Amino acid sequence: MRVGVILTVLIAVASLTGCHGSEATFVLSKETDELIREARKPVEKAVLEHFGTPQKLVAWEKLPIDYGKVEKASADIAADKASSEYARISKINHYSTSHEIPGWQLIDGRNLYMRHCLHCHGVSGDGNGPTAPYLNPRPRDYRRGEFKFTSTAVGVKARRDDLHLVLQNGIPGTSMPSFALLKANELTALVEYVRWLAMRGEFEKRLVAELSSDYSQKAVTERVKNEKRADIVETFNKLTTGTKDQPAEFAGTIKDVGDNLAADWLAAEDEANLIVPKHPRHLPSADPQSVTRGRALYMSEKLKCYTCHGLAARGDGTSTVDYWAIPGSSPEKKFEDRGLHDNWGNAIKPRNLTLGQYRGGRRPIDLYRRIYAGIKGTQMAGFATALRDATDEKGNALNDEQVAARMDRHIWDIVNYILAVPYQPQTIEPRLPMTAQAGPAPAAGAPAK
Amino acid sequence: MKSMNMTCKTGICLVLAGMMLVGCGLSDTPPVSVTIKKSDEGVATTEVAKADGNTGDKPGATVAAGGSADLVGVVLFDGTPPNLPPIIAMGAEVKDKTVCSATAVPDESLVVDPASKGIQNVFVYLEKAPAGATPIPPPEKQIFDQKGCKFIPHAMIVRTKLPLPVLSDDAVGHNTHTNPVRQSGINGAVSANDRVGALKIIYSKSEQNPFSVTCDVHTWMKAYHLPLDHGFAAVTNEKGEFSIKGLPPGTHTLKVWHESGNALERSLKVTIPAKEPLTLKYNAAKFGK
Repeated sequence: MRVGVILTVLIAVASLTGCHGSEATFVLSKETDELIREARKPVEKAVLEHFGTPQKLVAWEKLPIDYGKVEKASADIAADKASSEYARISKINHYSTSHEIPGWQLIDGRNLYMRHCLHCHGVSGDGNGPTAPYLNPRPRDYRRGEFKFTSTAVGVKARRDDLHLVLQNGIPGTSMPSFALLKANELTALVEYVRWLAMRGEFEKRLVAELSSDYSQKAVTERVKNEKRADIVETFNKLTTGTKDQPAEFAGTIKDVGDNLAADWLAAEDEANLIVPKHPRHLPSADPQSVTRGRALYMSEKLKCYTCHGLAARGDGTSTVDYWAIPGSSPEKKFEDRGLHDNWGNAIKPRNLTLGQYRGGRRPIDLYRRIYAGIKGTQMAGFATALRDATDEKGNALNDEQVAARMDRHIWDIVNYILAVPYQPQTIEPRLPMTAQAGPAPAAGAPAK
Repeated sequence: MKSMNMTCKTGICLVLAGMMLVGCGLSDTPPVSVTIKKSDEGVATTEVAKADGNTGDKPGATVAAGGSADLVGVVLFDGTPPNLPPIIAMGAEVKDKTVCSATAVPDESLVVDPASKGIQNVFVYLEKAPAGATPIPPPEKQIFDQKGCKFIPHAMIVRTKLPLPVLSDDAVGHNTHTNPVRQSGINGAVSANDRVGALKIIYSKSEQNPFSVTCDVHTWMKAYHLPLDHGFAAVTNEKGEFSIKGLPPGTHTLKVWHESGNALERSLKVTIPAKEPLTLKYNAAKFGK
């Protein structure tokens, strides 16, 4: 009898609570949690004010995001709504094709994201969805505002097109599948929403960075040795509330952080930052020495590709057994395990080039861009700067145009070499001497010293 | 009777369980809304240091008359300075040993002059240019170099929006990897013996604190950069001395930062003109040594 009652009560409680509490929420970053309580509050408030919650989104106009303008006439919207497509999609997906409110694209993107992306990338885009712990490599945490595979110059963020490409093709060798079955407008909405999540995360990250050197729990623990905690908190509160004759400095910080963020993401869309080769690729079939020159560059002192990718291009260079410093740690700390790590702290491996699988895409232009500007957030540097020869083989000075032409030839040689490695093992053996420089092409099949 | 009671209870249970199952499915997910937020809604204009080194003066602030003065000082080590062994001993078996261990690579995480006990590579700076100061013109050129698998200089203040060419006097390839906070970092390769500097770093924004610059080919290589949009900053020399020029009279807030001790001073008030040189002393505990 008693058991029955308890059971009934339990089920009743479960049925009452079941429908609530399932609302998605954005989580605060680890760095925000590490601030003192008093400093955490204004950060939390600022992020909420400028980005909202997953249910009540805020579209901050400062940011270069296409939130979706209302462009359709009301008659068209009515027609949309009457269509069977709208009825089908809106029921399953809460997907609005109506475009009747400003910011509709953000809502579309959000709803699509919740359906397709959240289980790996998490509600907040922190790469920590329920599936994430089971994946290797882990899903991208967008909140650094960094994406690895871009078509932009060194130090420049990802373009919309780069994210489109990843959605179209997936990332080979990872759990990121292709979403090519989604419609073009759905992909567009997703790209905008992912950029929005990235900017949201980076806004929080940069705000915290402004405060953490003085107001992290660690810093305050250190500071209370010489100062009173109450004084520290009072100074902090002045930052956010201001004084009679000075406006709140934190409001200015929010503005600056927003402005800088907007400028950085805008720069990524600037054509001047898009990497486009000036000279087309020469095919190895037309230039048989190209692969050999590429191998020589791979082994050259100025590029040292082998330190990471290995002498035989198997991704097992010496850097994979070194202990590495945690980037930006001060005083310096090292990772506990050997080998390379990316800016997210995940262990990474240099690509094994004999497999013919490339995360950032396998088109020659993808590889060109990888050599030119590297992989963002990793130790793969942009090598264009090391390939600008000031002189030719005979020591004659070169003009800008000639420098650019030689650089393109060098990069295409490397691309040709990389593309040959999986299919022509003889391009690895016999090994060229370590001191080989990319100079005049050695004769084909020249024996190693 | 008993079985009837059971059936009844089971029935209730079933109904409730059923409700629980269908309840969530039937209830509509709350609609998602979006609010458009204007760019700078309700932001009071605050004074922001402008990129050209001028300060955005507060309305009504007057340019200080009566010239300016320099702040000179010294940063000293309190106690017996540690004797740090080189990171790379001469002739050590390291990557590119012909270049990298041709001479020893010193540990520059705490450089103290044994005679004067002055600490080298300490950043002493104002976060923003002081109001009313005559802007200090940017340096004609700034250069970041490397030799013997060591960055030169180890600690430097970089003027924003001015290219910083990265040179190399080594016969091996390097790369330069920056870790700033307010802007994106770069990771660019540097060719062997590049005396022109194909790689140029341009910092667009001032930073709050110095950050590390590393070489991924030679993992021990490390330097520190502090980009600022003004010139009211200095790095201590081998005797721990520094001098910040052209400060207008009044009270200024200094920051003092060192790579091992980090924030040695977060907001040190100094008055200009100063009666005597500023002497700052820190003991080993500050540096974790």
